[in-house]
Amino acid sequence: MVLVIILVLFALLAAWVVRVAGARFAVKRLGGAVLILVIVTFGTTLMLRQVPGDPCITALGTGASDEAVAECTSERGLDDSVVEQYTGWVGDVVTGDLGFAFYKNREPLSDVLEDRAPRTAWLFLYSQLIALTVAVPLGIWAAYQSGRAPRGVPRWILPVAIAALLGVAVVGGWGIAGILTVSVLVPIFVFNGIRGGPSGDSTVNTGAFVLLSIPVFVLGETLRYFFAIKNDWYDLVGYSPWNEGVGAHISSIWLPALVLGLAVSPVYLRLLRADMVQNLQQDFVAVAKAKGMSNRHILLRHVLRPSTLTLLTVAGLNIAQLVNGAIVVEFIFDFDGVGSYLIEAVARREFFAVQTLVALVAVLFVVTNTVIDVVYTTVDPRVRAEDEK
Amino acid sequence: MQQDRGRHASTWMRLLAVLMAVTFVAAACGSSDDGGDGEATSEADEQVAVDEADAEADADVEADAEADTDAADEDADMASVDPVMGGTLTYLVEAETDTWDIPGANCAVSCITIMRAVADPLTIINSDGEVEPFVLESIESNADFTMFTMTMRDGILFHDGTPADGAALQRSLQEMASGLLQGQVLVDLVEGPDSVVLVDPMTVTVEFAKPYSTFPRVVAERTGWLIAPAFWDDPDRAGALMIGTGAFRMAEWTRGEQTVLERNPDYWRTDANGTQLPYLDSVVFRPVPDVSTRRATMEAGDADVNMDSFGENKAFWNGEWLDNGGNLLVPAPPRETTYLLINNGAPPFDDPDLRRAVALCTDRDEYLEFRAPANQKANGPFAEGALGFLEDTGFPEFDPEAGNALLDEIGRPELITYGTTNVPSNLLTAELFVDMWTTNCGLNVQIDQFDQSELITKAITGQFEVFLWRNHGQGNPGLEEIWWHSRHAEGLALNFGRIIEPDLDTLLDATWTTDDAAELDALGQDINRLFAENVNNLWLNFTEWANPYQGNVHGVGVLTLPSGNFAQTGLAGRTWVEEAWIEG
Repeated sequence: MVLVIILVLFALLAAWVVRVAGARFAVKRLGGAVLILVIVTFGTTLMLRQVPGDPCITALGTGASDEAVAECTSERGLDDSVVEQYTGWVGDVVTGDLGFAFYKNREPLSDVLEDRAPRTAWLFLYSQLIALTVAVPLGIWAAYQSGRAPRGVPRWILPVAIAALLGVAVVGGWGIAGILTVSVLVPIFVFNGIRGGPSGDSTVNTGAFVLLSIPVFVLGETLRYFFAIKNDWYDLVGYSPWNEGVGAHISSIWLPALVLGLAVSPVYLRLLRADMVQNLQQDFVAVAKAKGMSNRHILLRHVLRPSTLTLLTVAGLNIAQLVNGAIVVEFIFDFDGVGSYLIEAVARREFFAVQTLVALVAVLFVVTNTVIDVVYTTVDPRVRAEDEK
Repeated sequence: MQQDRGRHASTWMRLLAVLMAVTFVAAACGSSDDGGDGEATSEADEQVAVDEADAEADADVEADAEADTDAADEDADMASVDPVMGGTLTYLVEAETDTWDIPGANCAVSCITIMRAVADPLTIINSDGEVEPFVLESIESNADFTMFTMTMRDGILFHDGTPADGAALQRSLQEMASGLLQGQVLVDLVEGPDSVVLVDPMTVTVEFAKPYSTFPRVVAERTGWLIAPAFWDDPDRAGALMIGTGAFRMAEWTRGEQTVLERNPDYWRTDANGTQLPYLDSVVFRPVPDVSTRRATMEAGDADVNMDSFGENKAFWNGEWLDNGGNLLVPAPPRETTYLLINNGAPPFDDPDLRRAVALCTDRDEYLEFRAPANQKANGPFAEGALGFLEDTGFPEFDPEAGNALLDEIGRPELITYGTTNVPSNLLTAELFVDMWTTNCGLNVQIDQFDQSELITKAITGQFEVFLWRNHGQGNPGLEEIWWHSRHAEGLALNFGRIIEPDLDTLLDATWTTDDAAELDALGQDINRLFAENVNNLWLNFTEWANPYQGNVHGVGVLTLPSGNFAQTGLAGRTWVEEAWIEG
């Protein structure tokens, strides 16, 4: 089932690429994709075989008889050469046999993927939506503010805000360190934000750097503590699929998605801001201003579009980073997705299952980047013009 | 004007710097607050220490057993007052189970906890540490403990509706005897599985070639779980759901996610008031390997029961958790022992003098302080409250001068390899010991890292020199025979340390010839002294497990036996949910 879906999607993608970018482009990209897949999966196969320990002893347990281990080794072809093992695995996978997720109890990998892949897919999707929702507006705003003069907000507002927040905190009963930290930093952030101009830009940049410097597991543990333990706003009960209701689904996934989204958003934000700052200095912006176009129109219609090329590229390349993040986030939130299975499969020496998962990630990586390459031609027609030359 | 702005800016900067400085000072004061919390924790610890049967003060088994019974009584009182029928209990376990095909499975604490709810054992250990028949009506032995007669209770059904009779008992024991792991427990059967004979429809006899007085205890868990013939007949039983006679039937097993048990409507037991057990509609076991995630899930109130052997969490469960209205199971006195498992059968540790020297070079108090705070130091394999416990076994204490002198005499080995899993906390422990041996006694030690799954394989095949291990704690020296007797030291051996000591064999053989607690206690003490003399292992601490559960949950760890006694509440993290219920 999983394989059929993948093949159908692959065919649709190929047709779309041919239609949008032409057959030559499609053939070139398809050839490259196949080559990448072969290199990645064969490399994975080679590396996994260097892992110490017998997969059959690990799978069957220490109580397994020599005969059972020998039978397992023979059945899985583990006594063949690495190349034979690889070609055998490729043959199985392309014919739809994904093998076992756990050899010991013969649980099919396709069942595990059917159960777990949607969770990780939704997690990826929501986290990207959150990341873009945070990064795009803030990136645009920061870039715009960087070229403006600060507003004339009276300076006395800052100490007044600090004193007011301090008062609220004392009455509210926060911890003393928290009171002072929040009372100072929050007003500074808000003050700078209201002032706008380079101060506003610096505020966004500082926030992005702070977020960027926090490892995803720290972010995950912290938000888990705040939302799940300190306040009962998130239930640590695992994933609920769509068929259990939209509310249950969203409430089961929003926090892991937020963690993953916040972890990648500063990268997007910084890239978009940098590109927009550069494009805002282009002659066409000056011409647009001279024509009397509004700032909003210039920003959203003329600057944002060419500035998203780097963002798109990084979003595609970020797939691998997302997989890493998903493994950590799934672990922290006991999410039981593909990431947590991948860890277990590596630990249990389920070599063929790991190869299949790595191949799936590679396919996802290649497909996403192919789509992005094609989208380039839409976002920036100059790319297509270059190709056509 | 520029200068004026600059002056203003520097004033602002100074003000900001002062505020930030105050913030950091306040943060430091915040640490003092934590210190205050620590004091509160210590107080809570003291309270819990009382709750925990005050093991340090009460040295004798009887007192501990009494305290254990008190705890069970409290829960039982609560249960008899107002048990609420229905509800789902969510139980967090530390690992997923590979298979329910028990005879060849490495069924550890998580697996045992689930199996206890699904499959009834033939016998059970009560809160006084004595054996009682459970699913059996009776179990009797001949005078020399070579022949046992077991009679099933009437009217017990498996979850598939088939009768749990003598034939099913015979089949279950035969399958266990044929298993590679459980078969080692029943290795002395006179004619292998054929020694399990069906005498009449409800009675089975089992004959051993040598005395086996601990057999009734052996069948109180794993080997004694009564499993339906339909399970044994399943050609795909490695991935099949377990079928037993327990209070719950296994309804769903989604690997890595959850195992769902549903109420067995035909369960054979009722509570003291005659109410059909179990009270709960279902139990959901969720494997959550990360200890901090399990703790967070409990704190968030999103699970009902947990298991935790992480030393650094002990203070939390004993303190803040109880203060906030949570419950903590009072475990039975016997505890597992954490120790450095030494391979006595291969160089360099086949030399008893080197083992003694390394023990003299090991500062176990430092280990306790840094790696196992709040755990009791172990001088032998038997914990306080278990048969055979001795406070002073004569095990070598830290004495680097004596260790160096001995090493100067026998010569230092070229290299010692300390094996460890690549789990960060275990690596820290490894580095601590390597540092001790290198610094204190000039030994050349290297660390060999490997994956968790390789640990048991290395132990069972003897491919190691020394590594951290946790085992024993069954409360009876006779049950440890399989780990220490020389007949289990060859090939794929459960005597992991390859200990071959004729005197130890004699003592272990003797433990199988008696079921008298006083005799077993004396034999256990002799074993303890012998271990100290030969330094076969390097004992570190008795492992503290915690089974915390929510304040609205009752009856965890309570199992009322047909005799009216209570079963041992919990042992090494595993416990009972048969009589658990959820308030409100």
